[in-house]
Parts: sequence; C-alpha cells; structure tokens
Amino acid sequence: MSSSQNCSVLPQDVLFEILSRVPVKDLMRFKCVSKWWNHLVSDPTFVKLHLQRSSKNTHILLTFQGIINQKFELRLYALPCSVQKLVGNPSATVKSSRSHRFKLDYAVLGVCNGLVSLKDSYIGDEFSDHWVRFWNPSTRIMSEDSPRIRLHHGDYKGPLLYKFGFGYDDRSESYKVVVLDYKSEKMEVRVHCLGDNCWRNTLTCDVFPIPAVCRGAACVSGTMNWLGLAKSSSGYQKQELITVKDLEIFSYDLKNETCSYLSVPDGLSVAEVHFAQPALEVFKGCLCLSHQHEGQFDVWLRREFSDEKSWFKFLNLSHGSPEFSICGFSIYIAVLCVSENDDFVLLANQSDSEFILFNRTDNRIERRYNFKSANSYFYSNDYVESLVLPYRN
Amino acid sequence: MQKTEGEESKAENEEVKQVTLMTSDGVKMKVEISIVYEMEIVRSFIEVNDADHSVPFPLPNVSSHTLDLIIELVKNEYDDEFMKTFSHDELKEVLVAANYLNMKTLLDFIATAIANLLEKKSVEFIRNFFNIVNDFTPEEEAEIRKTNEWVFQDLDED
Repeated sequence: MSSSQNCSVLPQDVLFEILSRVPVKDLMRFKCVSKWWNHLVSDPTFVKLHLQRSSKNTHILLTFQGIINQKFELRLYALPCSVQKLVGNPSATVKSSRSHRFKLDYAVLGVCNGLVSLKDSYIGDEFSDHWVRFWNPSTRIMSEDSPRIRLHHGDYKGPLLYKFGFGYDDRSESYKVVVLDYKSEKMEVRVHCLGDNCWRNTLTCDVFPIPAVCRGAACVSGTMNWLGLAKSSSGYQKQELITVKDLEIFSYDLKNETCSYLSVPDGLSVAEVHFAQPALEVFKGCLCLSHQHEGQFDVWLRREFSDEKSWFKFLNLSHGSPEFSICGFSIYIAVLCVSENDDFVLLANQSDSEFILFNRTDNRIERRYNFKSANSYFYSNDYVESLVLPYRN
Repeated sequence: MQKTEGEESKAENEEVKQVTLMTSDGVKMKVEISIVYEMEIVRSFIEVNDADHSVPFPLPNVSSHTLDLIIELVKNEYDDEFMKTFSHDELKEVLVAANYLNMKTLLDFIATAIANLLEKKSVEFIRNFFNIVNDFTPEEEAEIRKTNEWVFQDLDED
C-alpha cells in the first residue's frame, strides 16, 4: 500500500486478514484512526480482497417509488436491506429502514459488486440525452455525471426504444453501461466504461426487439442479457399479442464485444402474452425469468449460465389476482428475494399493494403483508456491501 | 481432532506419531503430527526432507505460550467459548503465528473473531487495540469525521 506506515504491531498482510472481514460502515469510521487507515478503504488490493470476503446473496437493493408529501410528489427510493430481515418482516423492514431518496427522473440500471448505476435524461422532441452516475450505497460515495449520449427519436420504428443496462466484466475488471440503440434496420451497441470520457460504438447487429417496459439488462458471467422477440417473430411490428414461443434472449458479451442468442425454458407454457409481461432478472447470480399468465405466476432459473438445459421451474404460484394493466403496461408480480436455503421467496404483488411470502417447500403462500399504497413498483437487485469506488482511482 | 480410519487403526498399534517443535523461548514441545500437519510451513518441510522427527523443528517467531493456545484451539476444534478466554494480546499473537505457520483454518477463525470484535467500536478503541499512533493533525481528523458523520452513530461503549 502507500508509503504511510500502518503504525501497528501487526504486519500489513495480517491486518488485511482482519480488516477484509470488517463491515464497510466500520471501515469508513476507522478512516480516522491514522493516515494508513484513511488510505486503506481506497487501496485497490484491499478493496478487491474485501469484496471477495463479503458475504454473497445475503443482501438486496430494494427500489420503489413513494409519495413524499401532501402534494403527492413521487420519489425514487433505494434501500439496501438484509434478505433475512426482509423475509422475516417485509413491512417493518421497508418502514423502519433508512432509504435513500432520489428524484423520479433517475432510473436504476443495475447493481454490480455493490455499485449502483443511476441514469438521468433530458427528453427533447427530436432527441434525448442520457448520462449516468455510479453510486456505492455502503460508502455513500457518488460519482460525477458521465458524458452524455444523444439518441435520435427519428431512428426508432414502432414501439422500439433504446435500452440501457449496467454490467461488470470480471475479465477486464471494468464496470460498463451498455445502450442498445436502434438505427433503421440495424442495432448499434454503445458502451461507456466507468472512468472513461466517451461512449464507444462496439457492435452493429440485426435489430433485436425488446419490450418497451423492460426494466434493464440482466448481468451474469460478464454478459448483459435482455429478453425480446426471436428474429423469426414479427409480433412487435403489429403490436399484437405474441406467444412465449416467440421469445429469445439477446446476450452481449462485455469482454469480447460480441452477441449471441439464448433460448428461454422449453417448458414455458405456450400462452399468449402481452409484449410487456415476462421479465428477465438475476437472482443469486442466476438468470431468472418470471412470467404471469392466467392467474399463475411462474419463475424459472437458469442454474448454469452456459448450459441451456439448466433451466428449471423455481416456483409456481396461483395468486388469484385479476390481471390488469395501466396504459398497456402490465402491473405484475416481482420477485424480491429468496431466503438462504431457497425455502422462502418474497414477492411484491404490485396490483394489490401486498408482499407475498411464498413457502417453496410446501408450495403455498405462507403470509401476505400489505404495504402502503403510497409505495409502488417494488423491484430488487442482488447487492453486496463493498468498498468499490464509483470513480477511477 | 477427527481421525481417518487408517490413522485410528495405526494408533492402536503404536504411539501417536509426534513432532518436536522448538519455540522462540527455547521450549521443546512434542506435538501430534495431525496438528503439525495443519501448519503448512512445517508440513512441507517434513514431507520434502522426510526429517528425523526427534530433531526439534525451530519456530523462532512463536512463543511456547502461543503454541499452547494454538494446540488447544485445534484440539477443541476451534471452540468459540475457549477462544473468548483469550486476552487481546493473545488473540493478536495467535493470529500472527497462524499467518507465519500458514494455518489456513486457524487464520480464518481468528481473523473473523477479531473482525467481529472490532464491529461498532470507536476510533479510540481501534488505536488502543492495535497500538496505533494517530498521525493526523486535529484539523485533519475533524475534517474526515465531518464528511462521514453517519458512521459514528450507534457505537458500543469502549
């Protein structure tokens, strides 16, 4: 590490053994101990070691919209919380915890290694400008704005719209924001690396239609994945109902800057679905496809990213809620977290303002908790407490 | 200690194999080979040299007291209650020795225990625990405190 001495009786490698196991909040306080300790939390070797030791799959970043005052102004809330507490009592955990508030214009593109990517935008008549910030909720450090990227509306046909995603390339150890930009008959992939001052055009490929309300990309194993329509399908142009048979996954490799197409689970029931309905996310490091149809809610997990045969049905829930949609956007059920032993799954039923705790062992609903109807659009991302810096050191 | 079947049947016929270790304060200690094998630094030497186990293996960085504690910890299969009887100095000495002897399980166990001990502790507690001299000016320290006020809430008493 730096030239300043650690001034302790213990050698540095032994201190690293201890401190890589100390929670982030305590390490931020220990910055006051001495100059060596102040530099420690931004030392790349230590940050990496601490991340390796941080317990995985014990926390999520919960995001939701909430009304903040009598004027019904909405804000975006972000709340890192322990899976154990959330499964134990979701209403109390959401109520009591200190969440971070943002203006509603921000969109959470994703979370990698405890680093959150937030996107802000200016939407004009002819074009829109977009820029991102990186934020570490554990250290409460936020980056400056990235350079802007300008996207021209005239390039989009029908319901197609640009798509953003955030991912981590573990081979080059870099954090990347990716945008899929539709240009007439082609699709351009443009990438902004954390710390760079540009957006690079990395790939031009065939158009891959993605639902308009898709939340973001699912980042697994150094790839970004979006659920959309197979090339053979023409459903999106007619804006008509499609069946799940038309679905495919577009997978962009962050290191090699190439794309491939992955299949959805074979056993997915061939119901007609609204364009917006199935969702692709990441849970416990696995691709997760959730799908609501005819009073049923199915969740599939792809156990091994590289093995298309590893899809399995993780849960099936008959929820009995009527399906409804607002402005054509389906309000559906979101998976929030899975307990350590996979026995319990917490879901947010956005239409009935309730959390559903599902018992996988007995295949039944364990409990329902109402949440304030002032809150809505609950979503979650895998989260880990880390010291990862939101800017280049 | 867990023993494999082979070791157990051997133990019936002959005495448990021991290795003599020489500590920094000049004490010769006979230690069961199953415990010595957790010490990578000693194990690799024995395996390479097929050494005569009666010649003491020198451990110039480990005192007899620390070695006693290590042997008890391994024999007790890393018992939390036993470890809780250690003083802060003993914890640090065992950690340094575990690192030197390259005992991976013990290192993880002790490092985790000390890390748990440091949670919610004040800056002053940390300086005392590690004998650290504060090399900040009062102004510098106040500045760092000010930018991170939220981390100074809900602390334990020292």
